[in-house]
This record gives sequence, structure tokens and C-alpha cells, in this order.
Amino acid sequence: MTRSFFTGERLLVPLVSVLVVVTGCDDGSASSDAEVRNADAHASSVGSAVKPDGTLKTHEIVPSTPTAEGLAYIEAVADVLRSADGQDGEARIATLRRGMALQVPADLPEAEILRLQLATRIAEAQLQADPTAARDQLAPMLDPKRSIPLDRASAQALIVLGDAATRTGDDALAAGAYARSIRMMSILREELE
Amino acid sequence: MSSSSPDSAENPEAMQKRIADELAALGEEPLGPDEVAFAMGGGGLRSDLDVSTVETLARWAETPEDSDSPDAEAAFELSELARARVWRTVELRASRAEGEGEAEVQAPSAQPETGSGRGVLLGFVVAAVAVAAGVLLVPVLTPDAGPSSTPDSVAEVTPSGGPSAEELEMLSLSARSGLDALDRLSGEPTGTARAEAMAQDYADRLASQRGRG
Repeated sequence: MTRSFFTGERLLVPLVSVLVVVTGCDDGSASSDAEVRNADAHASSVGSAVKPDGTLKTHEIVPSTPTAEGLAYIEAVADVLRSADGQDGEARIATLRRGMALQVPADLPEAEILRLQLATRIAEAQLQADPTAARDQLAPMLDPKRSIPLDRASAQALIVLGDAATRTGDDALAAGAYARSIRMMSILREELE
Repeated sequence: MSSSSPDSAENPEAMQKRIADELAALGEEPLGPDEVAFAMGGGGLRSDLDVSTVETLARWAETPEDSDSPDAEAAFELSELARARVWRTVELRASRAEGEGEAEVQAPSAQPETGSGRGVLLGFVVAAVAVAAGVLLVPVLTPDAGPSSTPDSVAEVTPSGGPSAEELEMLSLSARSGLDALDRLSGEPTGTARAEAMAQDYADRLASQRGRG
């Protein structure tokens, strides 16, 4: 029994916020579309956290009403990822950054998953040579204060963030990221069953 | 935790007998000396047992999907008893952790059905990895609020001390194993293939919508 997060029949509600507590939530504020669109602009102090923070707030990504603009965006991101697959090093990072720079159409919650995929790929490419850059790439998007998509992409991004934090000596951030990833997967597993 | 867990007030003899009875009901052998010592011990960490348990779970999660391959056969050479013991180890650790404070761990709704399909086993592995890692988190993250696992509830986390390198390594291993197992359980594409699948699904839905219009 499997369930896809992008092939469901629910079309009307763009974003259903589901607050989930791991080892705790902060103020319980729900995410908004504006928050999603401004994801990367959101300054975060995660990287400088001193204490492990296992807070996990999630929202479910519900398939949106399809539009031509939405399709063009998703196809463009898929194209970027395909191109990056055949590249290495700085060329790969540059390609992925072009994907991150693509303008996200309005009312396309699926874009949040795609942007997490892109950011994770960038961080993975940076991990060896520049773990600080890898951490800084993901930390703002995965700030414990923010709600993140209830999705495999978030779990994977948290693992890569944990790896980057470990390499930069930020053990508290690493522990929190791994813990949140594991909790995310536990929730996803429940959804699949 | 929603699974059966030993009563914290249960005396050691009764607990040992109950565990033996449960294993007997499963057709399994009684606990070995190490397991008895673990179950009856004072709750101290047994890092060797933790490591072996997580390694076993990781090996299951990393087993190739082709169940006929030699690697798969090797991984699943674990007897039903061994699987039950791994699960018992995880469950006992989780139960003990719950007795010490809130352990934000998720247990499977039932023990694994040994000998059944791989989907069930993989589901179990995902859950068990989460449980094992959750237990590991107890000394790393100690919440100062009461149990708060319902949505919309609020709690804060207070660290009880920084994680050790070993704990971080265990967390990393558990997270990776969990992701691998989740992928096998869901059967959905990942990476670029997923983005392509999303594009195709979106295109199909757009075409369908236009067809209706």
C-alpha cells in the first residue's frame, strides 16, 4: 500500500498545514504561501545553534490545480536536474543554482519539494570541499522554526544538513537535523501503512 | 509508545517470565543471557548491543530490492528468532527510555510477521530504525515538557548535553537506513526521476482538466 505525495486526487486546497511535534514545537505558527515563496530569503540562526533542537513542524503538500505556468516550472526543474546529473563540481552547482533561481509560479506548492531537491543536490555537491556552504545552503530552508513539507525530500535534506553540520563541527545542529529526519521518516512510514 | 510495553512496576521475575511466554507464543527460544541481563539491568546503555542492533537494521534496509540476489539472501539469513530478538532489543530499550522520560519514538503497530512479505518487513525496518534512533536520542534531547505527541501541541526541547561523536554516527546511520527503507517501502522514484514523474503527473492532470473544460 503506497501513497504518492504528488499523484493524489485532492486539488483544491493548496497547502494543508499539519503541525507535528517531534520533541517539541516552538510557537506553533503555521506556514503560509508567502513564507514558502520567501523560503531562501529567510535569515536563520540555525547554523549557529548551540543546543540540539529537534523541533519538527510539517505541512502536507497537496497537489495544486494544474496550470501551464506550473507545468513549465516543473519541467524546467526536471530539466535542470537532468543536466546536473551529467556534470561535476562547479558546473553542477552552477546548473543547480540556475534551477533555484527559476521564478516559482503562484499557487504551486509542489515547488517547495522541488526547491528542496535542488538545494539538497547543491549541498551534496558542496559537502566535501565546502561543508560550511553546504550547511548554509540548507539551514535556512530547514530552520526548526519553519514548517517544512511532509515529504521524503525534507527527510533527505535534513540528513545532508546533518552531514554538513557534522563536518563543520556543529554537533548540536547535526543531532537536531538527524533527529528531525528520523521523525519525518517515521511519520511518512505511518502515512504509507 | 503504542506497542505493548512492560509495566514499569513489574518485578524482574514476572517480566522475565512474560517475555519468555511471549517468545514461546511466537515459537521462539527464550532470551539468551545477554538479553536477560539487558532486560533486567538497571537501564544503563549497552553500546555494543545498540551498535549491533542498529547495524542489523541497517543491513536489512540496505538489502537489494531483488530478493533473489545473493546479497538479499545473505541479509535475510537471519533466523526468525534473530529478527525477534532484534525487535525485542529495540522494544525493551524504548520501553526503558519511556520510563525515564518522554521518548518521542514511534513503534510499529504490531511486531513483524516473520516469514511474510518483504513489504511488511521493510515497514518494520523503517519503524524499528526510527525506534532505535529515537531511543538513542533520549540522552541527546531531553524535553522538559510532558508528553506532547498530538498535533498542534507545543513543547520545548532542552538539551541534556552535547551529543557524542558515537551518538552522531549512530543517528546518521539510522537516518540513512531509514531513508533507504522508506524508499523501498514506497517504491516511488527519487532524485531526477521523481522530478520527471512529477512533471508527467502534472501534465496528465493538466490535460485531464482541459479535457473536462
